[in-house]
Amino acid sequence: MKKILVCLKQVPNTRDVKINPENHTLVREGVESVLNPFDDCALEEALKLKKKYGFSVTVMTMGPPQAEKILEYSFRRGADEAFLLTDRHLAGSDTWATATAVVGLAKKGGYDLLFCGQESIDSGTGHIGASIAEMMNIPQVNYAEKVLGLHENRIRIQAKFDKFDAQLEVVTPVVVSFLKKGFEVKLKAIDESVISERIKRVTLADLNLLPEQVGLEGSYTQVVNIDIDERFVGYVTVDSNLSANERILYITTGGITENENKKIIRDLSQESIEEIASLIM
Amino acid sequence: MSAQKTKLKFDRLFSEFSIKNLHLKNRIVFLPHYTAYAEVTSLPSEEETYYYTERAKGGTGLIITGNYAVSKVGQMHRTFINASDRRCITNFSKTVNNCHKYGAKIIGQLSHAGATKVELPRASLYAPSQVLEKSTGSYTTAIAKDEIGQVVKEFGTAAETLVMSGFDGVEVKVAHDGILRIFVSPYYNKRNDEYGGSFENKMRIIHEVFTEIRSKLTENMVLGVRLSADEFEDDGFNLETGVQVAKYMADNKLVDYISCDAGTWNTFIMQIPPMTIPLGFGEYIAAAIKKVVDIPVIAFGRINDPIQAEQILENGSADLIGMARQLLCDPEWANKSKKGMVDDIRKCIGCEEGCIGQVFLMQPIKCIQNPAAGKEKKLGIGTLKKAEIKKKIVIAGGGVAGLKFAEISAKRGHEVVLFEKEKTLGGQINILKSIPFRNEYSEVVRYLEFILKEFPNVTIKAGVAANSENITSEKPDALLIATGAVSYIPDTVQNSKAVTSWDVLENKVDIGKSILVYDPLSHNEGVGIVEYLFDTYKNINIRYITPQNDICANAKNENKDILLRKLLQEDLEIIPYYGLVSADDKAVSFNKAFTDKMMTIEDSSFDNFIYTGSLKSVDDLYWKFKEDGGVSEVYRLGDAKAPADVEIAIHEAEALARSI
Amino acid sequence: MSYIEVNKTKCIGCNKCVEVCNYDAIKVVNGKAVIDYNLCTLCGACVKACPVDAIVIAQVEKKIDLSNYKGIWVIIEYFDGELKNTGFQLVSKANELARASKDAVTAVLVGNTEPAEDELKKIFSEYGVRNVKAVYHKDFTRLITEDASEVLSAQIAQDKPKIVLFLGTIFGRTLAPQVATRVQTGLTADCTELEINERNNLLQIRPTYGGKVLATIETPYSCPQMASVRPNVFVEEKMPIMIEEVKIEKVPVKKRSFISVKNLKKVLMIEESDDIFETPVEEAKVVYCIGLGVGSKEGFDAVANFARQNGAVVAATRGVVDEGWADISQQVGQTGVTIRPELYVSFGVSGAIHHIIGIKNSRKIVAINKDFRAPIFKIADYCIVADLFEVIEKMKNYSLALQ
Repeated sequence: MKKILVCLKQVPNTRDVKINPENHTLVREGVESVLNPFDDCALEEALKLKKKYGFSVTVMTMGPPQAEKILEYSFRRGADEAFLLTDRHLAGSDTWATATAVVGLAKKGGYDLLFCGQESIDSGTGHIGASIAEMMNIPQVNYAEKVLGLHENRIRIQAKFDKFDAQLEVVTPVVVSFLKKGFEVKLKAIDESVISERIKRVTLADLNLLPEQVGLEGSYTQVVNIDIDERFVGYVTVDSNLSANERILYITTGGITENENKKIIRDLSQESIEEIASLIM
Repeated sequence: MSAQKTKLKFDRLFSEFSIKNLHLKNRIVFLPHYTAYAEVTSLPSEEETYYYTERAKGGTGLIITGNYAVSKVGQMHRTFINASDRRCITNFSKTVNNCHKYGAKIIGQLSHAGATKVELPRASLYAPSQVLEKSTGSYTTAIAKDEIGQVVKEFGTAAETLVMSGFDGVEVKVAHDGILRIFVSPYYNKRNDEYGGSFENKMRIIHEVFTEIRSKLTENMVLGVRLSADEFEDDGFNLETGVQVAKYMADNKLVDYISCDAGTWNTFIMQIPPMTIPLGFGEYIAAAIKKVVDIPVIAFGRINDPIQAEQILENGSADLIGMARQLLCDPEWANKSKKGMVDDIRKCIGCEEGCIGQVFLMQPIKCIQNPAAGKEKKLGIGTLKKAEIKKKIVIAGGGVAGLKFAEISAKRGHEVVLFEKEKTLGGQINILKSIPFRNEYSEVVRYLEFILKEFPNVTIKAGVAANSENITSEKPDALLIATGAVSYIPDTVQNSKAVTSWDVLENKVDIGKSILVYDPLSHNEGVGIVEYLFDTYKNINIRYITPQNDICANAKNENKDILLRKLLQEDLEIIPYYGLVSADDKAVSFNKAFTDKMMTIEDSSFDNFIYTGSLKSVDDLYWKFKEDGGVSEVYRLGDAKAPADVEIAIHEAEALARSI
Repeated sequence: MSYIEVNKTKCIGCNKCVEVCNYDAIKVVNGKAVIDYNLCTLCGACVKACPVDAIVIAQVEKKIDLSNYKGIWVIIEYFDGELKNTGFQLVSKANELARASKDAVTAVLVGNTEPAEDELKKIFSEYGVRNVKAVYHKDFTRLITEDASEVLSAQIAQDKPKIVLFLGTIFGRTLAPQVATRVQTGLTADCTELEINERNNLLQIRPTYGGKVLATIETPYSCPQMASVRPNVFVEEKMPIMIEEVKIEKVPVKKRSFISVKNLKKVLMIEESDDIFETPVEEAKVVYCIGLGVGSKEGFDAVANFARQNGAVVAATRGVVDEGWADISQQVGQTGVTIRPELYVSFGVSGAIHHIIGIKNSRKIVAINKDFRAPIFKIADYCIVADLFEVIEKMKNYSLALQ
């Protein structure tokens, strides 16, 4: 029986995150924390393999104690085992440090298949699967859509590379990163009273990792500044310091000023066509 | 053609809400405005009751009526209802009961005219200090303290009338017109007694008025304010002060809600934004106020689309969505939105010809698109009856008049065949809409075209010009000629550079650098073409010549203010009082009004000569069928009858179609 | 060890940090801010918000000598003799960075093609690139990047570039994290701006939280500093004067323990997809917006197909939705969704103000309309005054000719 590890991340539902135009902060009121939808698809594929071949499905996440919500959800979906990697030293981890921690846990279990989402909706780097595979020195498949089949230690995967559909065959152990797609979520009735107790909580020490290998210190990249992208404020805000006429004209034009640096193409010569193609295709 | 569309749901817009104890079924508010439907005695009329009832029937959650004067002195004009007169109670009660019957709540708005009284001869134009009232060019009277006391008492007395009539609440205007806002305004308030100077002193009269009214209200009634949060005048206050006023009123519990607004009687383009102002422009104002107060906030500012309304609620910018003109234009906005029938909504285009255009004339307000506005009893919801005799009606021309006539005829069950020579319906609207700030006129056509698609008894033959053969072969019982008009250049003009404004808008003309525009009418078209040219071409100069006294002198178009704000930034020379005498390839000659003085402009000094505003009816088919017979009923409408406004085309089409 | 701490003497208990914390990790207790270390992600929002500088993220300065890392590399894919021309956008940006950091730019071609020297010399001389490296092997493919990653990583370890930039195509997006992990350094994905800071380090600016937040990221203690950038984010710019000498260095690839050789991973099938993953318009990076200028439902469908072929998400103006050609979920503008994709291309959109307000913040706007008077040309970066169907036809022929 093969073992699957699915790496999950709890994320704020970014579609609900709004920007307060007044103090330019994120409005979190009413924003729920959800399982990253890409990861949910990875879990779905793992559970399909469980159903078909009887594989075991282990889920793991790294985050604060509240992240156990998504592990409980995974049990309801049909996962067999769940790890919560929680440690204050993990705060500020970049993709390298995160992958380091995940690999620490993954190595303990001897998994054949490591599934994760292609990216997360909050940060969207798409690096985790690639980093895990490289650190473990095993093959990887990115942009996967579904598992087509499995024969001994070879797995066939349907993937989508922008405009192309492809089928790949890889040898396990392998890291597979899945794209997001729609599917019907089926929840199982389970014993809710012990669901939280079933989660196995691990710390860095349990994984023989040192604090300086992870977190902000173990990260190669550091966030040095965070700015709200003001262009996401859905309406036009007018500066009170403008004169009355300027305010009115600003409103009239919707705050739109003519682009003085624009380039105008009037003919469709070969040169223009090449330029347009490089612009839009 | 119409594809299967997603049915939209507006969960936030149709969620319940409470202002204090006043429970509202949805977030839609009909904002208060002057209607001029009052009787000569300044009492509420039957029309007024029908008018508000119609909006309640249409599903609106909260109706705020107004703007009621608190006393005779406080009336801007005698067509304003004087709420101190207890005889108001009879019709007020009817309005209140009707609105309640349809599930709407109703609040009455009070104001005192102050410096914005427009009745002649003017009684005292009360203001905090003596200044020039810019909107009317009159000097104001600095109000004495005992007179302030009188004004405060009048607000209380008028509020009692509303209490006795059963209103759910009272709103007070600290907005465009009236005496209260100007106490906050640095331009008007230069007092150094306890009503001027510090912010608290400037707020004193407001404090007194709201406290007085609150003492007259029953416990469950709500008290609100309509607040102009930015005067948009350089010597007035801006949003910073507006937000401060809102916070003061909320912190001191003077009010239970704040209804946002902007502008003054002098900057009414912000008060009642025309189509030059983007939809929902005022959201940032509501959001700024919402941030500092803990009471409900009503958004305002050209909201006409439920998608945008929902978005404003989602953004957290306001709790309620306020609309006035949109519900004037389509009283069933709420019901249609609730059903997700977004395309069925007839959207207000902000033309301002029917509503605010009439207000300035102290005439009953109406709507160019909705002939029923103000005539609900006769034309409102449920009044259109099926025709007793079904007829086959042929319409020549798919402009506004033809389409409106088709809509009403179709609804009455007639069989309609409409010929339009162009592939696109809409007639002159298709030319008009290429002017940047007029393109919303296309909504008039969009709505009618959409509605007509729903009727199986309507056949539209677009791209087929009506002629006597195809009309006759349809064997119609009735024939409508609505073939519009064409623009032309009169014979006196023999200059080869001369073109009409239509030629320019249809992009048939190469435009040079120096342009002569002659506008005999000084109506919308002339100013439109000037606006279009500056907007489309760079580094041009225009000489605009008219025998009238100004550019757009005769347009009842409240876009004028904003147009001038734009156009006067440009290289535009306006030459009034000169009428065209002759034009040939050497020069164009003009005569100055009331004089023998001539002005000659050499042909070499301009690249284009645009002759604007000359239209003549296309009515050959009318005369042919009228004289030759063949169809028993022959009618004409719109510009085919006489070149005129959209309003006349629509209103006459509705009236005629109801009579057949 | 890095950690966040509150200076209790400085803290005035103003609650500003509490308001901005996106993780509920700060509370004010007895008038002083207290951090819940279990929840804190060290994002630094509170540090910025604190008016009295009472919160600091302290960090032990690492003393690492990175002075022998030099130069900026731009990785460009070079398969089947075709140079990915969006790579020149990144080269242009690299030139700009190089001027600030006083470094030289090297274009590194990765692919299965032996470089056509004369042709490459000519092209790169126009972009002011003196050094071109070609890392190639006939067995390299776009879909199995592990092999290229192995070779490129070894080359980086040997040559020690200071900055490496990847073009965020499928190939580049997959290759970059593999290389970064192998050479043990930081990488920032999908940057929308790159700058050089006062310490001569690369600042990598990227959107996060669905694009609502812009994060500035630095790689302070390791080299090379790596970033990937999606195509069409930067504008390509030729140099005013052509470089005379372009050196092309061929990097011999010795066949080693390639993953493909070991038969650990292989591509069984690849074909052009007809099933398109429908990204919501507001999340799309490339949007083709269709206006009434397409004239009919058939016209709409033709442009929509063209969009799909180019991986763009289809949006529509209100007029098009009113006509019933597009679904209302595709409506963009004030009465639809507000978008700001990396690239917005309009086909037959005139540009009513309500539409423009909803799209004006797109990073690059290309407008195609035959009427030069269309208001959308006011805000567009590229105004193509031509018949949209003619443009599409020529685009199709052009890409056919390339194949």
